[in-house]
Amino acid sequence: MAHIGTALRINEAVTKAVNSSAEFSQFTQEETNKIVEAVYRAAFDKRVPLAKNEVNETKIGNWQDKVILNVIATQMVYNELSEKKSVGIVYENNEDGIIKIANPIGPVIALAPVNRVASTSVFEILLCLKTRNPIIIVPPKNGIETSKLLFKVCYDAAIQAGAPEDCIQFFYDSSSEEFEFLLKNEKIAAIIGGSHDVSNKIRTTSAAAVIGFSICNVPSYVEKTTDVSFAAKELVSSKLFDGGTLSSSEQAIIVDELISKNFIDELKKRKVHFLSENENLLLQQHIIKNATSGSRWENAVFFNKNVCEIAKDAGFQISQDSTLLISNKGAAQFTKETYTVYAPILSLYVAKDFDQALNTCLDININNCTGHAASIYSEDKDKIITFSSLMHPGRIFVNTPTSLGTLGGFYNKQLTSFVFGCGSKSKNNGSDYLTIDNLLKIQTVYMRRARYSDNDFLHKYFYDETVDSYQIDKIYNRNY
Amino acid sequence: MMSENYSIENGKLVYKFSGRMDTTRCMDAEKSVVAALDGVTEVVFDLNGVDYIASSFLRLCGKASHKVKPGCFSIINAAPPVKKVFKIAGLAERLNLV
Repeated sequence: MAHIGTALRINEAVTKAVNSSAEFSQFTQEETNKIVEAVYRAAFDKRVPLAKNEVNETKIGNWQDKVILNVIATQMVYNELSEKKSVGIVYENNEDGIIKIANPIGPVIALAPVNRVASTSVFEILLCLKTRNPIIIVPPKNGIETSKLLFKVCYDAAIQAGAPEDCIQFFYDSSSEEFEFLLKNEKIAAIIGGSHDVSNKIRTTSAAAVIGFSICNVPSYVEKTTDVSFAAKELVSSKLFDGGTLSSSEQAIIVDELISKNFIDELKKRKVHFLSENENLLLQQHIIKNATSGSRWENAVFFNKNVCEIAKDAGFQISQDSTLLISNKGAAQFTKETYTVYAPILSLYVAKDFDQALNTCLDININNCTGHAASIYSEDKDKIITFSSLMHPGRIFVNTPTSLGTLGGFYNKQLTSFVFGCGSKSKNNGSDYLTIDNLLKIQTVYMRRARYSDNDFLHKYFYDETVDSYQIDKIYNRNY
Repeated sequence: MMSENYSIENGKLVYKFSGRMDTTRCMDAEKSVVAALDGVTEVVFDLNGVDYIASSFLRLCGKASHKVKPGCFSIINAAPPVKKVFKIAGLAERLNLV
């Protein structure tokens, strides 16, 4: 039973969204597109202040990479959306007599992870506007100032372009009780986004369809047929993107023994620091000490710190030009509380053969948490398929850095997305990327296209119980 | 051309709207509606010719319905696309859309 104040605050936000949804349902494709373009342009123009504001507030990542994420979330997403139909007839096939009509699904609750506040929020806003669904964003507690700036930028632009009132709302400072009450509201059509701290609560309490919630652990298998120099370059650059704080970045590398020496040499060329046994122990203690109090996202001890600072905090010194820390003792898999470390730290495992590599990947990918991505560097298609079939996440990347690869558009032909379905194990509605298709109610109109022999053939044989299925087939398919 | 006018007979207000009732139009209409509501016991909103309503019009309907006793507010002549807006908002029954 929620407090009266809680209920009022939630009801007010939801009622506004429902009314906005009703108004939005009258908009044409042209009117909708005009709003989406206006919001895209306004958010794109503020990509740098948004990025700087976010890093300053959350202390996560670096502003330059946040700018890249903001560009992906605005320009790339807009370019993909701009020509898409999302209102009225979206498909027509006269031969089959099929017409598909797109309608909005209704108010959407969206969450943004604290490591990608602005980019994920603006992506969610653009998708919801394109599908004429009002959006209520629940920002992370340490991303509120960024969210306020983003709200002003996007909402002003939307209203200026003729959008309905309250088509975008931000629900700031929600208490745990309010958040739960919001999730249970039956007028909410879908809950989208990714926020690790609340993923369990959402999965267990939401009344609406859930897309994009899971915890992550990304194994990357470097198979013996790959170009080791290429794999090392891609893995290091991926892990360094935004300080290794993206949940889609690699957590552990599993390398075939046959190429392990060359691969490690390639990593060392890129100034990767391999932890000694003592350093590994010190880092392990440091991680556990700082990760066991509260949420992992509050574990800001690693955020915005380079590896030298992390090493110093843990009690040991490394070369000043070091880029990454690599542990061969499973630095990212110490305890249940710290199985995913969002920092420029990787684990490295050497596998004797393919089976051992697969087993190690399974341990990382499934035993700890299922995640939304895994990757393999290989030129052997059979092994790629075997690996992919055994891993659990909804998306497996081949010869691709997962940090940016996961977002789509850069390294593959997938449409850009910042929200990733994580499958039934995470109680997600599907395991694909969130696109506008998830936010549309597609109605199918079936025109009559009668099959030629139905009227004069079937009934008399169906009523005759001596006629079996083989005879039916034979009679039905005869050509005379 | 958007316009609205009303008549009051035996305490029954019939307020006619037409055209596009968007946010700006609703803001303009609200003052006139509130003034017309004074002292009436029954209210009818006639939407014949209305082809678009903003969420602010839904609020205006809610406000007007609260000025009279339950069951004494109704909406008539809503075109199907406009009726659908009330349905989506979950207000068709509460506002006695007939």
